Amino acid sequence: MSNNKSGAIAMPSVTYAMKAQKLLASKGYTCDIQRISGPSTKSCTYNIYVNENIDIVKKILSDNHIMIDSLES
Amino acid sequence: MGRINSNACNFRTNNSRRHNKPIVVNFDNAATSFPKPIGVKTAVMDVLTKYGGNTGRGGHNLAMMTSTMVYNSRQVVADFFGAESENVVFTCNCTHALNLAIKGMVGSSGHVIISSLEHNSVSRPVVALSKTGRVKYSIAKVYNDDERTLQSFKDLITHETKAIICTIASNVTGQILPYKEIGEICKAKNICFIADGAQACGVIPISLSDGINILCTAGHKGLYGTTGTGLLISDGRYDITPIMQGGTGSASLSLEQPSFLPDSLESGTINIVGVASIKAGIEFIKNKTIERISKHEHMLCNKFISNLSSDERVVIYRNSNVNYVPIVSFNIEGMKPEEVATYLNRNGFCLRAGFHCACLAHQSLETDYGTVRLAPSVFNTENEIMKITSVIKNINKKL
Repeated sequence: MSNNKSGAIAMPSVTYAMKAQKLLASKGYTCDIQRISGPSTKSCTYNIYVNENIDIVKKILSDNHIMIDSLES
Repeated sequence: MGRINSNACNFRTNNSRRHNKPIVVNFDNAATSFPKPIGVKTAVMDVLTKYGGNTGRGGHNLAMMTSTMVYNSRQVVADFFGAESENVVFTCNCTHALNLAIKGMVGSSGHVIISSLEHNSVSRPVVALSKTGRVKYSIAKVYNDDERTLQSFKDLITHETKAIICTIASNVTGQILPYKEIGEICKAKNICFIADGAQACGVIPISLSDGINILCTAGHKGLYGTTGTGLLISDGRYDITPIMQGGTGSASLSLEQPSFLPDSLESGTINIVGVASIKAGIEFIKNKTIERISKHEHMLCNKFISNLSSDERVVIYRNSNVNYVPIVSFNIEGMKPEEVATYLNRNGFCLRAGFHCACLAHQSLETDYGTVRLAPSVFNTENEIMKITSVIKNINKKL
C-alpha cells in the first residue's frame, strides 16, 4: 500500500547515501543526508530524508540496486 | 602534440633553471608518472586547504564536504572503468589492490593461473598462498602469438581453477596480453578474471566490460595521481574477503567487518589527498583523451627505436607481431643495464634499470642483468627523445 508521507531511509554507508541522493536528484527528487547514530541502527550511519512518497523512493532505489538498511518514518 | 605540455606542473622551470640545477628528464613513468598535471596539484592543495574532514566519519560540514568530494572521485573512477561507484575501492597502490583481490577472492584453496610476464605484485601473493599448501598455481607462457598465449591459458584450466590473474600489459616490455579474449575464456568457464592494469590504465581504454571481474591498478602511474594511491574495481560478481579489518565509519556497533563494498575493503582512513588526485588525473586524461595520449607516447617510443635501429649494440626487446603499451626495454651489448642507467642519469635522463620487480618476466626474457626501461608520459617531448638517443649513440664512444 502506498502512502504520501515523507520519511527517512537508513543507508549502509555514506557512499550509498550519496549514490542514492544523486540518483534521486536525476529523477527530480530532493533529499538531505544526515548522520545518525544509535542502537536501533546498530551503527553510525547516514539517513536520507525524503519529502516525497517514500514508497516511490524506495522502489527507485530498489530498481537501481542501491542497498538500504531500513526505513524510518 | 606540441601543446600537450601546457598542462604539466612546470617543474623544470621552477626547480631546475631557477636554481641552476641540471634539467632532469623523467623517462621512468612506468614506476610513477612525473610531472603531474596542474589540475592534480590544484586538487591536492584543495584537500589541504578545504577538505579537512574525514570521509564517512561524521555529519559536520567538514566531514560531509570531504565525503562528497570522495564520492565524486569514486563516481569519476567508476564511470572511467565501467563500474558502479560502490564497487570502487581506494587502496594504497596497485600491489595493495592485487593482494586484496587475490587473497580475498581465492582464499585458502583452489587453483589459479598467472602469466609468465607477471609483476611480483601478482606472483608473490600467489606463491605465498601456495605455501599454505592448499592453493595451487600454474604459469601460462606468453608468446609473441596471441593464439598460442590463449591456448597456454586454456590448457592449464582445471575443474579447481578459481581465477586467472594476469597483467594487461607487461611492466618490462610493455607487451599487451590478449586480455579481452582471456576475459571471454573466464566467462565461459565461470572463472574469476583479476587483471593488473598498472601499465595499461591511462593508455588503453580499459573497462570491466572487457570481461574483467576485478581490475587492480595504480593511481600514480598512467592515471597521474599522487603516490600512495591504487584502485580495486570490482564488477561485484565475486566476493572478496577482507584481509584487514577495522574502522569503516559504518556498522560501528558490530564487531564484524561490514560485508558490503567499498567499506569491507577500506578499513581505516583512506588517502583523501590521493583520492582527489586520482579524480583530477582522470579528468586530465578524459580532457586529453586516451587516444591522443597513447598516440603521443607511442610516437615517442617509435622515434626512440628508429633512432637507435642503426646501432648494432642496442638490443630492443620488441617483436613485430606484438602490441605494446608505450614502454621500451633495451640493453646495450657489453654494458650492464645499471651502468647504462647511471650514464644516462649523469646526462639528465631518469630511466629504471634492472629487473623491475618482475622475476617471471625477466626469466622469460632470459636477461641475466635485466634491462633498461624507457617509459615516457604525455609530458615528454620528441626533442627529449632526440637528446637521449643522441646520448645513447655516444655511450660507446665515450666509455
